[in-house]
Amino acid sequence: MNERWSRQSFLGAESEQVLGNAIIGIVGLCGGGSHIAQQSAHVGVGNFVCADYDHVDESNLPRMVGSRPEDAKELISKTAVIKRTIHLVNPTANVMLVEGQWYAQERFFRNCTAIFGCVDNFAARDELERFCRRYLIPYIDVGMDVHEVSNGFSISGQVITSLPGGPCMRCLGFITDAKLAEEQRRYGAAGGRPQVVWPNGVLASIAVGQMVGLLRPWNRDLKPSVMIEYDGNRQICRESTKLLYLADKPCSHFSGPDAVGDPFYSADNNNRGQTAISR
Amino acid sequence: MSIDTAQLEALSAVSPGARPLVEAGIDYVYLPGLRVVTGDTERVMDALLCPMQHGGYVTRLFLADPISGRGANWSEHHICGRTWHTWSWQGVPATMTLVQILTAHLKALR
Amino acid sequence: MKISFRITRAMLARVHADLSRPHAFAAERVAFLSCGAAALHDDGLLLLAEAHHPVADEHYIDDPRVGATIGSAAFRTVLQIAYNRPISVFHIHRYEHIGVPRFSPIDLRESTRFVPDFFKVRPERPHGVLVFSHDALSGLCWYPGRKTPVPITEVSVVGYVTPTRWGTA
Repeated sequence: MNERWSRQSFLGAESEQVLGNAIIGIVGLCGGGSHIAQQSAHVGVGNFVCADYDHVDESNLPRMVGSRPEDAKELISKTAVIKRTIHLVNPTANVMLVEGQWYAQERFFRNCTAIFGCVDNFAARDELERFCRRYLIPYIDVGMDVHEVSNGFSISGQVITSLPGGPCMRCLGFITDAKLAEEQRRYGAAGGRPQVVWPNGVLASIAVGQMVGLLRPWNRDLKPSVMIEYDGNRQICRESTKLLYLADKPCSHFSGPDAVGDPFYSADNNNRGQTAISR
Repeated sequence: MSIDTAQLEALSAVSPGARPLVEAGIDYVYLPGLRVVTGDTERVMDALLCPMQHGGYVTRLFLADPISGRGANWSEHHICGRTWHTWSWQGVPATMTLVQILTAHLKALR
Repeated sequence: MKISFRITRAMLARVHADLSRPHAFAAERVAFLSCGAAALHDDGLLLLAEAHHPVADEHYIDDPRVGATIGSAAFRTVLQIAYNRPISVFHIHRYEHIGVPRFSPIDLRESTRFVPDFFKVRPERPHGVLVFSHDALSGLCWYPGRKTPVPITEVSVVGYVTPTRWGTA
């Protein structure tokens, strides 16, 4: 084993190859996504597909790992910053950038080993999870929030690992039609939501651990929790109690006909990058 | 909810090739090559009709492409593995038949 | 053409449980997988195991010359599924060993005979055959318009406590 990986040799002799061949998708490259990109590069992931439609601005600097003041001055794209961050750690990593909405290049995401969602709204999470379920890709969602309470503020967050066949974010009650409707109703009125670097770091680290655990489980009985909740005031992470009510119930939201694959697939279309057809 | 067979047949008469799809527990009807008339222009494009609650809308019609000059607040949505476009148009009740729901949405684009 | 195949750990377990069931006279069991399909960005093909379709006991034919023979009723059942829904059909069976399995001459000869029938009901989708061992699988995919099958080059089992990329023949 290469000396570089000697301290993570407990991940197994093949871990260097497995992680090196893995293709990790990251949607949202700021608060959570930047940590995830950096840690994944450190641990040896060799291939990335990274999507964000935005450029760096001043308000990102306190929490976007790898960003610099000059990036904000020059309006550098977040994708470019993440590529730089990854290559600082692993210059040979393949980094495919999607500057825009991830689904504009969704065929690249179909080949991912796992996809991290680091987005800030339920609709985006819902779309990512539906995509991942369709192509049998583990989806790891990361999010944090700061809300006002009677005695100040409360920091909270969660890491949800949505595996095909297992509980989804709808099973967990994390995504509901009511939340999507409310979000749609408030569209445009949300504004910048509070975000700080240390909860993002905690949650991102858990998420990366989930991913490594999927690829190179270091324990025969390893079965990391589907939903981990973070109490940022007490600095505690715990498994969500919602899981008690799910037990081994199969997910009813992503089953049945047309649940997997491209429902519009035809061999004629295999080589054409078209989405829905307009003529 | 699952798509009523008789209603689907009626919809197929209006939009040949209509077939039901489901994703995340939400029913849709795929309408290949739907004719969309706006003013004097007729476009042919694939569409996705959602005859039930969808993100705060009672029913919704998604199109392969947005139509400029018609509708307001166009947005993109990734559904059933494709990117679709829809506009802000509320109040077409799910209690109508599929044909009526489709007609009501298309009327908004005329 | 690069062909990738994905299956969840839970479905793989169901497949193995079914293939392990004894039969009154057949030495081994066979079954079918219905699969979704999708294009990959590099002109590759992604196959996704959607549902497992065991062959009913009464659809086997007593033929001591081979491990298992199934009759036309078994094929009609799965062809009806493919007729009703846009899926790819893969015939599956298992060899009782560990390590990457390889198709036998009989496997290849028989596959060449029955796989083309799948295109009669669902011509726009790829179809094929899979052979499992206890810890790996190999596959051949007949792609529409191509006469010879293409090997499945990458297999992923999705779920916890799993190596994600299995060996292929």
